[in-house]
Amino acid sequence: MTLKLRLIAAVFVTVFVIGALNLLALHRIAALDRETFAEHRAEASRAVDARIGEILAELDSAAINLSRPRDIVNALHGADNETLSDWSAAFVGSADHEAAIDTIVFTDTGGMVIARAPDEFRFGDDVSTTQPFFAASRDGSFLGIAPVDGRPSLVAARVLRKYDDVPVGVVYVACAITPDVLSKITGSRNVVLTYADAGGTISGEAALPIAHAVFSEAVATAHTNGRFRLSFLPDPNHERMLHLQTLLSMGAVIASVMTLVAMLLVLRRELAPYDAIIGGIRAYADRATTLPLLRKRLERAELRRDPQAGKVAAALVRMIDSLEGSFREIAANTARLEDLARNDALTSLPNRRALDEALEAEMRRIRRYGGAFTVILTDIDHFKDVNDRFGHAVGDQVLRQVADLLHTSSRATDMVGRWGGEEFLLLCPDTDAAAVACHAEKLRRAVADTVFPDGIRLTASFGIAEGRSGEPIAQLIERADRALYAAKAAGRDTVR
Amino acid sequence: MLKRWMVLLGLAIAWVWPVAASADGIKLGAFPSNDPDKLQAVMLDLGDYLSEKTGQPVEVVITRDYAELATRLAEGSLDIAWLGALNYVRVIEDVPSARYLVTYVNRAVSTGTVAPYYRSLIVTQADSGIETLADLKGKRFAFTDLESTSGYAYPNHLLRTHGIDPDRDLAKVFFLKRHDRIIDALLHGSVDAGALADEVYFGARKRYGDKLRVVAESDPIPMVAIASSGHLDAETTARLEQAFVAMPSDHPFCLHMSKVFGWHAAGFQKHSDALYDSVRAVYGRR
Repeated sequence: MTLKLRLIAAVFVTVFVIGALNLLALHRIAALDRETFAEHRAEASRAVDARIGEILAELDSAAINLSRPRDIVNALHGADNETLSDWSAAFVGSADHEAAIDTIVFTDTGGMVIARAPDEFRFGDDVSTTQPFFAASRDGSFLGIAPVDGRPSLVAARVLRKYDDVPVGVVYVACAITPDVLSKITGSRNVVLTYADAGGTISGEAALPIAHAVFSEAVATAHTNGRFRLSFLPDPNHERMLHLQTLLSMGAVIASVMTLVAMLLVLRRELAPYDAIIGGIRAYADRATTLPLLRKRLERAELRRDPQAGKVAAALVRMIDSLEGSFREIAANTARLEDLARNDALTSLPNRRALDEALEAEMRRIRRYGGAFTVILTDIDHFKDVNDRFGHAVGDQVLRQVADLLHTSSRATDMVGRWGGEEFLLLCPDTDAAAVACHAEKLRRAVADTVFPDGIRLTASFGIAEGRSGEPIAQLIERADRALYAAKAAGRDTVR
Repeated sequence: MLKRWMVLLGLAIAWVWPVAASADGIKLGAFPSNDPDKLQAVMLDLGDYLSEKTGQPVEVVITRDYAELATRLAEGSLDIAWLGALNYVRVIEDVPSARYLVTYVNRAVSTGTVAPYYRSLIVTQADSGIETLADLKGKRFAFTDLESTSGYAYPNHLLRTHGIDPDRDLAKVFFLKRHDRIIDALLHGSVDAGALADEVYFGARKRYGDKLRVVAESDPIPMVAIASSGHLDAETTARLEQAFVAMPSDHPFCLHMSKVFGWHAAGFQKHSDALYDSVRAVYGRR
């Protein structure tokens, strides 16, 4: 598991770091771009200020040119509207630059308009309260921004003097601040120049909302009642860069996530067999499964195509197999040892110890549940003679045959055991003495009727004792022994 | 003043060395007030007419200026001269031998009447509230040109005889040079009243209806006069006089005049020098 995490971390971190480096580089480029933009901004601001200054200078020179000729001075003095109209018409719209002169006004010293261009026949009105007239009358000239016919305009005004001395009136030359003029001053589609004063705002770009400007700043210009403001609209290149940055950021994130997912999938696939093997072993360690189940799991794991894991699983299965073989051997040995401890080696009947245990159990049973049981103690008559005459081997064979006889002739519920030497004990549950006596008689006859090897004929004596509740086993055996003794005493081959 | 002395000097010399007019030719003189080519074209029509009528060749001479014309009339190198009313009065003054011959007549388009004179009108906007000349006080007023007879001399005289001094009593006096510009200025409300020739006013009324109206009209202003040199013999003078008076109103000269100058010429009439006395009064001469 940790290996998986480490692998994922290694790859993921690499992808992440590469992505981060890319983004950092982009960020740096964007920062450089911003710096360039800042320089461009300052440059544009200076250029606009200079341009406005130039336009004013041009207007001023036009005003000077219209204030000097004697013809014009005399015409103004003589209220000669036509001559003044002719002169001013020649100047209006003459500039081939962005800011053409759009109004020229001649007034007398009292501020009454003597001639105006291009409105040739609009004159005789009073402009004595306007700033250009007022300022020019006072100072000899005016240069700046003032409303002309209700429109904020760049204005140059000059006093006309007869004999270069006596004022005869004022000429002013104006260029209205229109959206067109403003846009021509900036000369760039990405920069919008606006002019705002008490009368409202004029924008160089009506179509584009200035609210979208990246940056906006006042233009430092000395000539104004209102305020020029430069707004920088989003630069397409800068926009593209920002877009690219966003795109790459997203790309990096997506690549990271996809790498992570791909890693997970590949690792899952590659490590799944090992996962299964290790999982099985862990479960076994936690006692959550058994060896056979573990073996099944391993066999399933083995089905996976991974050859390495297949080999490991196969090895583990073999180990489990050999462990289970050993376990079975041990169990068999244990069973045999147990059998040896409870059965007589010669006759394979339960030995005395097993009989003792059974008697105890039967005694406990009748004490708890009531009922009865009976024991029959039997001894082969004159068996010592057999050993003496035919040898121990034959004696053993006879014993085995008697044991088989007793065993096969008894009920399945009866227990037949070797009490010792040539003595056997029968434990008959749920029977009383009378029933047992009958059975014992049948056994006595069977023994007596049997021809043993080498033609040997034998008899056996039987002593019966019925178990009494609460009686010690030894006492019961004692009574059975006495009954056997009584049978012996009665001439053997008898049931007592 | 210098100009005047020059003219007198020229006349004095002419008196001492008279140059006889060529016996078989008549010289018609005129000097241009604006466009010499236009003037010459119309004068050639007139010359052709006179030549046809008198049987004598008529040569048209466009002089450089008034002084040249007056001098040549005095010395006899010009036989007759085409002169505006004011210049006629000056010639009669400057050249004692010069004589009145005939007066050019115009047909007023508005009334259809043929007259040897026209008038200057003081015109205002229909709704200006100016009813009499006295109402002009404190108003903006437009003349055409200081040199103009109907656009300045007569209306100025009219105002002054009604007790209005244009220099003092009017708010502002503009000089708009051309008569039609007075109409435009009035229609734009740039002036409250203006002075202009009646023909221009009646022409404007056709176009602008009753937006304008007349406050006052001047004395009759006599039309162009034809003066003859003292050197011209009586017989030729009489033949020329008859020829002038006989000109039909549909003669090419008349059509040409209306085409070139907008004057609806209707020929010539014989009046007398007294017709020009109002000019002398207005210009303060004699």
